[in-house]
Amino acid sequence: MGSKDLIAAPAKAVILSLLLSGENYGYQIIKRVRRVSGGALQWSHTMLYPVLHQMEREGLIRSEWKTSPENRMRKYYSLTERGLAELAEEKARWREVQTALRKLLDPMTAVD
Amino acid sequence: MTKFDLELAIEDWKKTLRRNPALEDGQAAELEAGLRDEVGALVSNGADPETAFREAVTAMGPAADSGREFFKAKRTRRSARPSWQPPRFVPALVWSYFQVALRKIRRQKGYAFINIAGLAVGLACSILMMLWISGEKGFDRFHLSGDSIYRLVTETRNENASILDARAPTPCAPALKDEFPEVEDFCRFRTNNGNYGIRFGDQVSFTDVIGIADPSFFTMFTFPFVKGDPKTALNDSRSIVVTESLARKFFGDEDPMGKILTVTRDPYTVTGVMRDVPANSHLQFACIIPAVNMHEYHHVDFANWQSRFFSSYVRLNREARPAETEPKLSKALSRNMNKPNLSLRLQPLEDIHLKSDFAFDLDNYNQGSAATLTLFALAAAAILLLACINFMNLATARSSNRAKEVGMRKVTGAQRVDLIRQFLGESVILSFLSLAAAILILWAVLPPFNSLSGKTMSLAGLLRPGLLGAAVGVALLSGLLAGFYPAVYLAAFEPARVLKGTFTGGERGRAVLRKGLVVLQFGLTAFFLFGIIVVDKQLRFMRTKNLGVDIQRVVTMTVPPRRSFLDAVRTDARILNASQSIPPGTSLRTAADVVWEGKQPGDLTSFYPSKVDPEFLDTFRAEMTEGRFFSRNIQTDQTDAVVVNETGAKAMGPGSAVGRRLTLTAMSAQGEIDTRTYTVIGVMKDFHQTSLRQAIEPIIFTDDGNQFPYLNIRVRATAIPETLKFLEDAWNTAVPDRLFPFTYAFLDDRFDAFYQQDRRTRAILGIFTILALFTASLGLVGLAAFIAEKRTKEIGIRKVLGASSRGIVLMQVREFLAWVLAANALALPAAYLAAGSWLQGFAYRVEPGIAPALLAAAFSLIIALLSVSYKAIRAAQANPADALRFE
Repeated sequence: MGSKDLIAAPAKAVILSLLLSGENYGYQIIKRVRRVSGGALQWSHTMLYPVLHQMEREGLIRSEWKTSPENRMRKYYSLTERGLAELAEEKARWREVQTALRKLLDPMTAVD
Repeated sequence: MTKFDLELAIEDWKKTLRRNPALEDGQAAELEAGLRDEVGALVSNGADPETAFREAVTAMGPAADSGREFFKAKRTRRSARPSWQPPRFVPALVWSYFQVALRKIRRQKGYAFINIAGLAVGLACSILMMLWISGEKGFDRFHLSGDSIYRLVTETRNENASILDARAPTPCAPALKDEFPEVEDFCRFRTNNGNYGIRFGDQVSFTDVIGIADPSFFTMFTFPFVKGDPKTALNDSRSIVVTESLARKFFGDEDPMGKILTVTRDPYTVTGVMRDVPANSHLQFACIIPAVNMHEYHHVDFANWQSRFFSSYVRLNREARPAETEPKLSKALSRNMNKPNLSLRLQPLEDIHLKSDFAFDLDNYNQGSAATLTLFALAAAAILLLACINFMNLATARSSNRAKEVGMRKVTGAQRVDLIRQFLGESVILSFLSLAAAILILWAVLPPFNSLSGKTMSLAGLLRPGLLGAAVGVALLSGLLAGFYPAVYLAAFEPARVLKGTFTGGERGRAVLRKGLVVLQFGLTAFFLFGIIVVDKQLRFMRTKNLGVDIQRVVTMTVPPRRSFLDAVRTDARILNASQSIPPGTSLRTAADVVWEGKQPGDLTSFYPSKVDPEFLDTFRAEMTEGRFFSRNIQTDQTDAVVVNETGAKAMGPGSAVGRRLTLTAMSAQGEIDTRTYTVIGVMKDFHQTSLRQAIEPIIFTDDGNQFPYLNIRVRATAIPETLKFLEDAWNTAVPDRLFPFTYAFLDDRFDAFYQQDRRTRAILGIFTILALFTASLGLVGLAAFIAEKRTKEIGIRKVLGASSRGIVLMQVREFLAWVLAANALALPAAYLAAGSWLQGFAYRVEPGIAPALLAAAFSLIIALLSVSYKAIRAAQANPADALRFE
């Protein structure tokens, strides 16, 4: 997939959606996104963490340092109530965008 | 190869993260956790740890990037400046910079003086040179069609050299105009040499220069008219165009047009009034009369190709290319004169002032020299460089004084760039203070400098935008040049070291650099010193060299054809000898064709005809080497005999020249070309006819000096004033109508005049040498003071341990002297080469030898010693208790 901004734009929605299935940490998030998107979304750590911190400051997610099964320190992120609400809004917003884009990019098949 | 250690690698990677001011510790730890996850996953997939680590790092993205991203995530405003970046501009700091700069100047008056005085002198020299160069380059640029006007320079090639004559054969320019369509117009010009006056009623002037030119003069050159028509003003042969100031001198406020001026005895009607000739013109005159009159006054034969009387100018049409036209014109000249060794050069009008070194150039104006100009410009640049070096040297030497300031500024957030900007700003402030001082210096020195150099420069010339810009530019540039190194050096101080007090300043490397700069300074100074000593030696040599004739106490004058005056002179007892001859010190005119028995075909030797009378030998105390000189008692001498000089005799081939027959083609006093056959009756010992720049040429003497208006009188040493009085009285009796002025010159003065330009060079080079020495020793004083201060404690301890004051002075001085000696060793060979190439310009010259080098070295050592001693002695005599009390 193309430019950096395009990769980062839906990050908030994607992260919220991923955390719906339980708490997770950076590396795992990156791996999941890559796998599910079939390699189309290649996130890096340096891109991900600032977004996570931003979302944490907005109160959408919370974080906690825990010891991993391999006995290493890891920071786990999980969804908050506000995050859950935000996820619904984000989903609606992206669906709108999706529909609009489909119509705009492929006008012949579009139905009014 | 060492084994890859994952933990070490991660440690290193974390270090790079920590350098990033935007990353907080928690964020870094999180990134580390991510990295470890990546590595762990890759290793469990079978990768070796090293490869896994590298891939993981790449997957993380660069550290700087992460800092920016983290900051973006945190900021509240889109354009916010990260807190770890200083603001671009802090007005309060500018004021602080100013205060600190002024405080430094106030508190360290000595150093400020050294810096400002040195830079001011350097800038003053540079501005002076700019004024000079712009004046010299501006010569002859005011003519509207100036870029298509060329002067015809005649080149005669003979076997060993080519002679360039600023005149062209009289009929040449008109013939070229007739033959070649690209020659649009021509004009011939020369001036009278003050030998006939201009009169109006009972006013007479011999000093106003009469220009003699073709009527096309005012259409070719641009001299604006106040009255009259430039196109027709000179059409009538007895018309005269005068400058405004000449008109005012003779006619006051009356209208000059139509007034009659008398030139020699003939009436000329004023047909035009022009503005005064600008000073930057190589054509200088007070009035112009038509060239045709020269047939009457100087017997100029306008159809004779042998005659050379005028400088000739041609205007080419716009399409003509001088490089293509020149050979065509040359061919026409050699065809017309039937001489293959003659050619023409087209000299652009704008080159005449600076690039003329020809025989018979116009001699009533002060010609420039491109070489001298370059020499002086380099000297001025060198002095400015010396001043800049002083600045650098002192600023870095005293850097430890400012280390704390640098430390504090850095701790409170200043970046290197800010400090560099601050220090550069300081040096630029100093350089502009110096510029102000430089202008004051110029104001004071311009009048004496003008009289020394024969120029008319003024500070007003600086007001032209180009020059003013250049002056400010040079000041700015030297401020930046002088300040750059210290600024970079100071700004590099590490605050922790400085503020902890472990910093001492002036590490070893810096000291070496400072010494290098002192060596460079004294090298330049030694170069100047050597140069001035050699120039002086050559000038002394020329003044005292035995010329082969005795020119002391010989009065030479141009006399009217009045027998009564000559008779009065010849019979007076106070006069030892009188000879009607072309005297030594006068350039002999055009070379003559000489054919002798046994002359090889193709031999291009030129002989210079000299007109003498039998008294020549006694008057000038010349000597014969062979045969005899002319005698009054032998009638045939005047018509049948010639004497040649030794060089001429040698040119005639082996065997004695005496008794040989030769045929001489030369111009007679009446301006006719005369071919006659003579017998060589004697060979005269060589003497210098002109300047020692020129080699002695073959000369052929004929006994017809009495037909020319030269008179040379040897007077008694004891009766010079009375004799001059007698001559003037006799003149006034013989020439009661004041048609000719009574003027005379001493022959030795005339020889001195050959070297006037060289004496100017010596004087100006002398000034530069003094300034260079001044600047270099200023620097040395400053450095010595600094080093003495640095070593106060060392000196105190040495004294306590029993060192003598003398020993301590020696210790300090010895080091400086070693540098100065090294400087001399480097500079003197270069100076030797440069002096050698200057001396090449003289056919007779001194060998620089070892003495000037020793003298220059000794002198620069003495100056260095004097500059260093004062501070060294003060330091050595200080009470050691004062130095050590605080230990």
